[in-house]
Amino acid sequence: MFGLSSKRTHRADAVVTGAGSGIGAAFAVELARRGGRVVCSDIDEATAQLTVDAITDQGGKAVAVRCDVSKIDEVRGLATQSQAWFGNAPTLVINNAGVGAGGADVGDFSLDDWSWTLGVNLWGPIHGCHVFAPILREEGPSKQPRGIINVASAAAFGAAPGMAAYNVSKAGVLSLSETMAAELSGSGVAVTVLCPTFVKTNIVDAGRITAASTDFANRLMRWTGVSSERVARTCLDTHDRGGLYCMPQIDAKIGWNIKRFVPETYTRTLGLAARIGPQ
Amino acid sequence: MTLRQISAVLPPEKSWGLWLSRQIVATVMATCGPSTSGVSVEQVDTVLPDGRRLRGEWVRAPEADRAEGAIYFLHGSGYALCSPRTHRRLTAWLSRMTGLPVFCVDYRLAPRHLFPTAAGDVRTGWDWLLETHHAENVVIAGDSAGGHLAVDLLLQPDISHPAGLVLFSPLVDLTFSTAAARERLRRDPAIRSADAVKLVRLYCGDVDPADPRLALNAAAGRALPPTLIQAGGAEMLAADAHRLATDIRSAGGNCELQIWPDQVHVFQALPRLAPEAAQAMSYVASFIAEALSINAFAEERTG
Repeated sequence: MFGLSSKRTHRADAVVTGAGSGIGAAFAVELARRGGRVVCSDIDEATAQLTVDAITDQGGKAVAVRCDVSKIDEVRGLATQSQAWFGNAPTLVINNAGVGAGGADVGDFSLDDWSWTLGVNLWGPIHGCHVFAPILREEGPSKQPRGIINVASAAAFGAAPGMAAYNVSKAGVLSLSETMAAELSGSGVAVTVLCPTFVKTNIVDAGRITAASTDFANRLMRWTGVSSERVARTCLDTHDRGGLYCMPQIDAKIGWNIKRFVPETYTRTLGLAARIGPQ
Repeated sequence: MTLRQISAVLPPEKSWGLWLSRQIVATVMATCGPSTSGVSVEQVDTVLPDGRRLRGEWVRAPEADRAEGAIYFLHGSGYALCSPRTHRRLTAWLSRMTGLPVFCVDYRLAPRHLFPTAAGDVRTGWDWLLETHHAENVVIAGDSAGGHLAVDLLLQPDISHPAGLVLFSPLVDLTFSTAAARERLRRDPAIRSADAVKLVRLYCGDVDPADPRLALNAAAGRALPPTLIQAGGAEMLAADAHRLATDIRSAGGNCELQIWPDQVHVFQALPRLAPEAAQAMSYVASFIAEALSINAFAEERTG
């Protein structure tokens, strides 16, 4: 009680997926800075190890675990390994792993890419919640408050043309989080969904996006992007307050409100902008 | 610290920018460095029998005169900025702590002298030193780019290996992509990786960074002698230190890696800024003593 912070993100036993780069790495580093122990999972274990090095070099505690979140067995394995390493159940799970996909309209975007995108971006968080929600819920009333953070995107409500698979996957994550927030209310497990716009990360380079769109997206990121550290910090603070929605940037907030109040006008304007805008 | 902002606005390709960078580094190292009291310096400017010219300086603490061994020191700072003069406080401290004379080679700097001039001068210095010393009585030490030069030297097939290797914040990946990945997680207080690339490019010029003497492949090369690597947790080159340690071990070498939390690049040269430097240096001294005594013991046994 005294001297012990009751904040969820302080001294957390946290599992972060996609912690090898971008927002996930920033989450991991920030959680360690707040005194937590962090399991850094990524499909690329070498990059996860880089994040772990950055944490342990500063005296923090972290471990790297390889995990492809689109495969339920690997997520189950991640849960087992995390519990073994912590010596107890995790108190915070961040379903962050995601890939970028877009550049083609519905009908032109291959079904292969559809299932790849949904596999990581939608099934990843579903697997994460399916495996970890019972663990967090079962833990019962303990000293450490618990939580889940799902990383969606402003694309969840932004409906930007040419990015159907990505938009659908992120809309799914938004809905998943809202549903779980209702289901878990009163259980002591908080749910936060993060909806950033452009953050300076490697998602554009690593994703399946056409070259022209990559160039445009990279330029957009450079102009408007805020750093991933700031997004991670803002989101963890929102989670501490128990907030459900975290829109870390002003453009996300504006878009979110326009979409809510004038949804049809929003969509028509977006279509118009895409026709006259950069191709 | 505002070094990061300063180093970001100084263009290393302009002579005034380079001059100013050199002044700043020299001033920081002089103000925050250890004292040189009681240490004697002897300039060396000689020509080897095969015509190669060598310049450098011996730095000797009072008790280092009788020592049989020596330390061969390769100073750092991006192939362009520093000299034995800027590093004299560090080499003097090293000499006092270990009781060994330190020879600091004055390799020629970029941008006037391009790759592989510096590496060649480092080789010349090593050959010269071995005329008077047994390799197994010598430890090689280096910081930053000096670490790159040291590893490059020891990976050459026809080089006698010293008793040990001590590296402060070694630079391994000259493209700085390893460091840039770390920088995204934590900014280096001294310099941005993009600016560091510009500085190192003064030396490498247009040489392919995949050249084996630039992209050191310690993992597939000769096993290095027992190695101690120290780096700061706050610097981006901590990532290089991890990589080098992994590579050395996978080549069958023995490598101890120490990352000192919250410390900056080559904090051992700044004890007035970082009290941890004293602790780190006393560890270095005992590592060197051990590396030399193991060899002396082995000699006794065989001899």
